[in-house]
Amino acid sequence: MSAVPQPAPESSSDGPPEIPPGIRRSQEAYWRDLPQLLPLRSRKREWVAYHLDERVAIGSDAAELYQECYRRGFDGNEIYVGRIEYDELPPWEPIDLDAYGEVPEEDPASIPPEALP
Amino acid sequence: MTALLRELPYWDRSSRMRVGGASVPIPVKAHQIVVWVSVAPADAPALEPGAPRFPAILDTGSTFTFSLRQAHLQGWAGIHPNYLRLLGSIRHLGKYIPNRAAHVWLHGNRPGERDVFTGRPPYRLKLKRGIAIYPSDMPQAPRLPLLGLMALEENRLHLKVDTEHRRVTLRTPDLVTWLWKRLS
Repeated sequence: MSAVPQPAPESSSDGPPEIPPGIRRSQEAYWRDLPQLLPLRSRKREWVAYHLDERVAIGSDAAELYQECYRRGFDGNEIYVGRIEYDELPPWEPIDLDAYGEVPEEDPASIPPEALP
Repeated sequence: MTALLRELPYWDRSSRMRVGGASVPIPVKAHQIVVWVSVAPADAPALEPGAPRFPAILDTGSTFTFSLRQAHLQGWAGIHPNYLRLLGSIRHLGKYIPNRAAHVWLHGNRPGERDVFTGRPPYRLKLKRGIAIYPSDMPQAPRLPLLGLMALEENRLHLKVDTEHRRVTLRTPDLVTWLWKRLS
């Protein structure tokens, strides 16, 4: 396990917390490659590790991929291990729980007339 | 197929449980399904022996994988948030809550018991977006840690709630499920 002290404060904020630049760059490489990776997905190819713009390895276990990155001497704040599966949002994009899959309640048209008494 | 939770009970009345060596028990509301978990950094290949375990509410209405207060992460899991890599965030009630790279390890129960465990090793729930860590003083932070439906989905687990007997079963896919997926 690698110690990763980070300066980010543990408080809620009105803006998204800043992801370390190295992790963000690796996330962008993952998101760029994901469409090509999806057809390769299998039980043995479930996770993928990136160091900045470079794909490091593909494997079945995220922890093993982290360890492989450490064996190669990569800085923990420059790697990202992502899952090979479809996702609507890139990993750096905040998930909005307030709107997640909700039907707009304010919109009367969202309720069909026959559903009303 | 591996059974992760077997005949896990919940009750139609409130109950209490103790975490670690705490002298004060924690109240659990009626109809809340409690599971016991540990948290470890996502890069940990195994859960360290003696890693503390703590309760979480199995909440199928929660729209994220795993959420907890920072105080619970530090006090119960023994992990400072800065020890976990920042991956992103969720937006909840207008505030941004950081997600950090961690996996949740689920402890199997002895059938019919909630707070008694089997000797089997815990099962790792791999969470691609990590866990959401709420500031402890945020009023909307969960009272107890929440294990959401998304965590079960990401790990393709099968949940069965027998409301007649108030028992919960959770398992990995069986051969029939696997064959059906391959053939469909």
